[in-house]
Amino acid sequence: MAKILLIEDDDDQILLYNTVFKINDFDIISAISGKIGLERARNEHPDLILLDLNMEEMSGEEVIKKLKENPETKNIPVIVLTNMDKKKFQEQVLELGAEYFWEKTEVMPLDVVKKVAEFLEKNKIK
Amino acid sequence: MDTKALILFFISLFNLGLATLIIFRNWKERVNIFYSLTLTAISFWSFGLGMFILSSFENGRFWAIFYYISASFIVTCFLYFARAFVSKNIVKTSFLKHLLFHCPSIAIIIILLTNFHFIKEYTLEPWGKNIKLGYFYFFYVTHVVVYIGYSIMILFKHFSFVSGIKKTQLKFIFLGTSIASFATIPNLFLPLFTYKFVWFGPYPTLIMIIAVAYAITKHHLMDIKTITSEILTGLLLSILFINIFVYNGNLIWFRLAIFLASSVVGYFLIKSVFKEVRQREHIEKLLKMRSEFLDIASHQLKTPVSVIMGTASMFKEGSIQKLPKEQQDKFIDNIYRKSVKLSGIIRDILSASEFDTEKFSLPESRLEPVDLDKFLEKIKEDFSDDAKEKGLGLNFIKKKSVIPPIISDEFYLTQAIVNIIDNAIKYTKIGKVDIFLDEDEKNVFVKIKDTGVGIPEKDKPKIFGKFERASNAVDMYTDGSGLGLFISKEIIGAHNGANISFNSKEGEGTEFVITFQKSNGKDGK
Repeated sequence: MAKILLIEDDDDQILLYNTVFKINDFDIISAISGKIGLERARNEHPDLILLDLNMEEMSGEEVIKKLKENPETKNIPVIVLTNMDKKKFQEQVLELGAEYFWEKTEVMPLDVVKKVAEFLEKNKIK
Repeated sequence: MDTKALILFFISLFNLGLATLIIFRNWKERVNIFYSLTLTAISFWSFGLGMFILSSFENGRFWAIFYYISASFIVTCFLYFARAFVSKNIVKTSFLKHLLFHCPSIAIIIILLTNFHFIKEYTLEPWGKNIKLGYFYFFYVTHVVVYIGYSIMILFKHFSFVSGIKKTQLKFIFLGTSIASFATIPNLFLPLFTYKFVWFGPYPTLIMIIAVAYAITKHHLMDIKTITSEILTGLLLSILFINIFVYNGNLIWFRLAIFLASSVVGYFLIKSVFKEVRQREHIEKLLKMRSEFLDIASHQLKTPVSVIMGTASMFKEGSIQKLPKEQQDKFIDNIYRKSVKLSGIIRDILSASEFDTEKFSLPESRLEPVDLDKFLEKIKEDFSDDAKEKGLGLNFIKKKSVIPPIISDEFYLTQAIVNIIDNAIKYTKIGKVDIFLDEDEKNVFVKIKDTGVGIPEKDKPKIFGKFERASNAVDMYTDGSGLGLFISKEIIGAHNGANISFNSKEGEGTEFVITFQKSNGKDGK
């Protein structure tokens, strides 16, 4: 079972994605802030990270930078899932090493699951 | 008229023109003041030299003294300019230090006026007036070289610390001044051998003027943006001005009249260009604010919408229905709460644009006495969950006496006060938020005090501005609209005699104080 780490500062969104991933047989863990997210990434070795950009204290961009700096976490693929404007942020986060940039209002939760499954399949992760 | 002198007058006028331009653009900025003074001194120096050439033999000595004193002031002012340019924040210079800076100029004035070994001999030669210089001329040379050298050194050292536009500006000032100074150095020593070429002194300053003027035109040096029209006007006026004196004849009054008329036209021309530039800047600022606002607003609107959409989509494809009843209810509750939030954001945005169009006033027909005691108690209740969730204390502390109602509209008043309490809770990590209700003879006070992050000193002046958010607020909580306090202020300001103010210390907390005038039974509006 693939393990997904969701880093997201809105409880309602966490509930939503937790539910939809669990229904579809994923192991999903979540973190309410960038700091906790980095910790869980180091300790629990998720197969993939779903990351929000606009968060208190530590922004998603910083989280990617920190993830990619650390040899333990730098190979975990990161997908950005956010409400920020695609035009402005996509290029920047892809440059930082994110795999995709998905907008929450464009990609519905079930599609997120499907696309994550496809991505893991394609890259032969579990 | 002597061509050499004519050119000197031109240079003098150019310097004076540029000085006026710079000082008028921002007479409060120290950089502008000192640069302007430097240019004025150059202008005097040039003028003095021109007059030295033109004047009668008897008056020549006076003009020589005049331009040596002016030259000494040039370097002193330039030193002040260099110091101001490298340190934007005002460093208090002690009186003693000021005195020290002016010491050489004062000494030179005394030496020149007492005729003490400076101008040793003053004679008339076939090529013009001749001065033989005494030993104290070396004091003058040292003064000039040291001051200019030191100033250029300060600017040069500063060069590596600055970047961007300021670096480009500095490059031009630096290059212009250095070239002009180096070109002037031979002229400091040449008069020791022959005084024939003394008139050449100010010529290299043209290089500096051109460099600085170019920096202003291209890179908005000293915040000047309309120089092209000013230079043209200045040039035209200079020609007309000199034209008054060059030819003798009966038409002098006519030429004077033309000059005066052109001055008036030039003044209005420049004024209208200024106005246009200001308008354009204002529009640019509005456009920038609007696009920032759209960014914030679109993100803020999308956040609740994405939850509503996502949840609804899961209902639609049936996966939520497979969950137990309590969990399904939680999702419905989420949709509901996000919709409430969404409608709140929309209300804020609409209110902000409503306040934008004209001076806001409370709807006359809905004004009624509001009992602040009950009113604040209710707001406190509404916020108690939020505060509890963050582990913050939320207290309503009121004076025992019965506080008279104020005349207001509950809908707007709620919005005004809720925005402040909402901020207080949002930007407080630990501690508490206290709401006070108090009165004195004339006023009723509502105070909202938190132990939060506080407002940084630099953000204080703009905190009530539209779309403005304190820098530490942006770090903490990313999706504020920057409209809350703007709306609060507009609403409070619409009450008769009411106002809102705050005390805040970064890292310690903020206290907002809303003062309502007691209505005395009369209508509050």
